[in-house]
Amino acid sequence: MANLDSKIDAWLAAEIIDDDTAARIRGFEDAPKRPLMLWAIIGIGALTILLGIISLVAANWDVISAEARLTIHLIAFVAMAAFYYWRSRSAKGEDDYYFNDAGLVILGALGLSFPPHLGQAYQLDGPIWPIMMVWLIAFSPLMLLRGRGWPVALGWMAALFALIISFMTEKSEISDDHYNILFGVHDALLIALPVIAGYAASWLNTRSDRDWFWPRLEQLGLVWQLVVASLLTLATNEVARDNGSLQYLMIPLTVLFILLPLPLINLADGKEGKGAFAVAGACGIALLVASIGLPGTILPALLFIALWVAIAFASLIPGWRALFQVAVAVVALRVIVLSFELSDDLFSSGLGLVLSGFIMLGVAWLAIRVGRKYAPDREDAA
Amino acid sequence: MSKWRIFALPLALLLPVVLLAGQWMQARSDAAEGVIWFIPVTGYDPHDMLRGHYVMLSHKWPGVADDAYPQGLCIQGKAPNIETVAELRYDDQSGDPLTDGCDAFVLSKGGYGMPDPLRVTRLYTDRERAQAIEKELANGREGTLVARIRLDGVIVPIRFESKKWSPPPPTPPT
Repeated sequence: MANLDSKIDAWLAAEIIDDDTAARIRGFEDAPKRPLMLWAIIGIGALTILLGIISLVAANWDVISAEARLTIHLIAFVAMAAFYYWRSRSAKGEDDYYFNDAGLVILGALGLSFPPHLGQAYQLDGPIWPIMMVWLIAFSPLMLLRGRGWPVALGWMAALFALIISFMTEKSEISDDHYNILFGVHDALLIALPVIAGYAASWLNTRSDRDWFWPRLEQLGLVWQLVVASLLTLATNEVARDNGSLQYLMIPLTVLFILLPLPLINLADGKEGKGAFAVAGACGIALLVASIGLPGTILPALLFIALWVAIAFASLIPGWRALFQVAVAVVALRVIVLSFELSDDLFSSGLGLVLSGFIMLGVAWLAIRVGRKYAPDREDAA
Repeated sequence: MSKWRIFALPLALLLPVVLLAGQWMQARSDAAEGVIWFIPVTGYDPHDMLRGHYVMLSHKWPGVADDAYPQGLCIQGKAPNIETVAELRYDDQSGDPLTDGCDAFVLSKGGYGMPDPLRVTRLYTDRERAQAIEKELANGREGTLVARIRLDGVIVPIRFESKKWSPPPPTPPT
């Protein structure tokens, strides 16, 4: 602070600021601040104690009986839950923000590590998806009622992603011959869950004061939709090659992607709703085309590029700067990869390499130009 | 509405406690189910790089070739001694396993990316013991796994014993 005072004196002497401004700066700097230093010390202290307990338990892991370890685990959870409850009753407002999300993340982590701990104690091995499902049932009310920001939103969505991915990979005992439209509808509903959750979050956002939490879920739902649509679009020549059990998945997913955002158009913030609808529509149409099964290299690549060009245009409606720039970058990368794919015969000659290099530079230059010229303005609130 | 709101957080905090406790009870009863059998085992190949507080054991089912990948096994014998093991037969129509003639059966329920429970068992134990077992079973030497085989065809390991598994004397026909 003394440093700042001498600076202000120097600025006054140099007539950079006037007396009034100097007084206001001093007043602002003297105002009580969040005691960051204090919190840092408390945080480091708590972390040290926690690490000590963890290393104490870890060092004696084999000596402590399995049931005693599980009891400790459960007691730790109950204690943390009680502490969280007490803290949420006593602390109100902004200050609670950091503790709140940290507390929820710790509770979620303790809950998630309990089933693997049980597996170790009772020698049980099993698939991951039931663990994720029980976790989501157990923790969704807490996370969704209390979440305030990124950590909880990301944690909850990650659990949902993990459930879907583990279910799709571990439960895929149905052979391709037996896969039919019913399985497809089932899997499509499952895959669309994060998208549905995202739309539900944007609806809830109109009825809740936690407007820093729900938009995070919306965004993560959108990201999931883009990833799913991109991956399935890339798989289109898989459909063309064999009889194509993927079709049974793609067509219901198309219908879901296009129908789900329809109620969203009427929401208060019309532009965001229209943007989400445009993105969803682009994904849906791309999937519909992909379900026909495009052979070869060029056609699937063109479909993928068309999808992301459409996404770039869609992002202009609500002015989503980050999405626009990601879309431009994805298109540029796909074009570059395509140029390598097409010139693989020429690779050995060296000429192909030179050509691909030039195409790469050209595309990169073009992408930067497009990004500068057409990207929506930066938003502070975004 | 606001009258009920004060119960929302306590209930939301209670729900995970109840479900975690429920999972614990479930795991306890799952592990206690089934009949104890002696299963011949050898070391796990390839060498498990991430081994920690467990050891991987490869089953050496008598009568089943090492390179066979059956969907299920039918075990004959008088628990805990296995006499013969054969591949499980399945109903042509429904695809259900035909387990009627078996004294115990195991099913391959592993999903993608998980070790096939028919071929490999993970035995959780402390690090030193895990290394000792692994050393003991190196180079194809054999030992015995004491395990419960549950009625749903799942193997739950109990402990490892050093003595090499040997077929029981044939039961005299009665």
